[in-house]
Amino acid sequence: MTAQDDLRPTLVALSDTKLLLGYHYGEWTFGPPAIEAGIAACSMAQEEFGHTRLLHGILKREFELEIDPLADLRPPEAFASIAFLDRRLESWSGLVAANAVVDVALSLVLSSFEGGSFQPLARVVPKMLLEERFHAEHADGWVRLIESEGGPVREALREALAAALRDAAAFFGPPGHDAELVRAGARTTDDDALRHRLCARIAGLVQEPSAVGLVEGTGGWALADEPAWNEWDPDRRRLAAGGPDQGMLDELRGTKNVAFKTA
Amino acid sequence: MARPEQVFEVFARIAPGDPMSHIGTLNAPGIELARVYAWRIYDEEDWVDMWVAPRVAILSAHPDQSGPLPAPGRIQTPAG
Repeated sequence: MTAQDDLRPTLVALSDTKLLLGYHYGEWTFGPPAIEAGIAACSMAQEEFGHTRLLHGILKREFELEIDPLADLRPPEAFASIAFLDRRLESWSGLVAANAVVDVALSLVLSSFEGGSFQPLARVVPKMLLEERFHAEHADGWVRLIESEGGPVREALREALAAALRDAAAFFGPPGHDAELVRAGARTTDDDALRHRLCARIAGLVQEPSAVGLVEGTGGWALADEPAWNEWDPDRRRLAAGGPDQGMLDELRGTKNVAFKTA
Repeated sequence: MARPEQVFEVFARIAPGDPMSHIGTLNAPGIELARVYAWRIYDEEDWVDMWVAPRVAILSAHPDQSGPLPAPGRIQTPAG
């Protein structure tokens, strides 16, 4: 097992989560609070799907792993995606939480490949992160706006942020699990440091970090409740059992339209 | 959400040295989201610069007019 072999589950988890994130952004093309927000969601969906295809290309070339999203037959429980995206995001607060926490978590992991020795990804990460900058700004704008509004919308957002943070924290894995990748130079920052950065970022956006389950300790901002790492699945990078809703996967794959597929 | 949306004006140029052109307007609840929306909505060209400004911050320089520009949808004439 080489350091490059260890990269495979990370790349699969990134591409699976980006695929589902793109689905949720796409779904919120319709029904957002303003048409401008719908355009932004649609635009972010395009970029997430683009990143997914790019990651699939790397997985195919470097790991001989072929994932065609339209022909993917993996069951939901084989997906390596952040659990917050398993179900439909029923309100705008869920979409904002996915944007602020899940999207940023993925960008943080990608950023750790910038300047690393795994060239297939290190080469393309700067452009991906350039696009992701706007995703983060969109998230920041909405979180600050809703936080300043107060009332039930703020409560709904805080609840969604707390849930997204729990699932994203699991995505980063137990401290030290990726030490070999960092030592080998494939990644420049370890996942535990990235998790702290994500927590610090959210703590800086909300008025009461404790309301979204964050505490500041000697190591920086972290979740008040440590994930149950003994249940962590390294291949799926998550604690939660199950997986994405089958109906969502059917829509992503065009299951109803399989008769129209070209060879 | 109780906060009213503001109107923002968007300006851009394709090549360095070109004059900034007014390319459109948008609604946003604040400047932070206005920046994101502007870049997302008016992405049909490879702009080298894009500016966004609250409509209320733009003043008329015409000697017969004063104060901020009129609200969207209203055409201000010298007669008011």
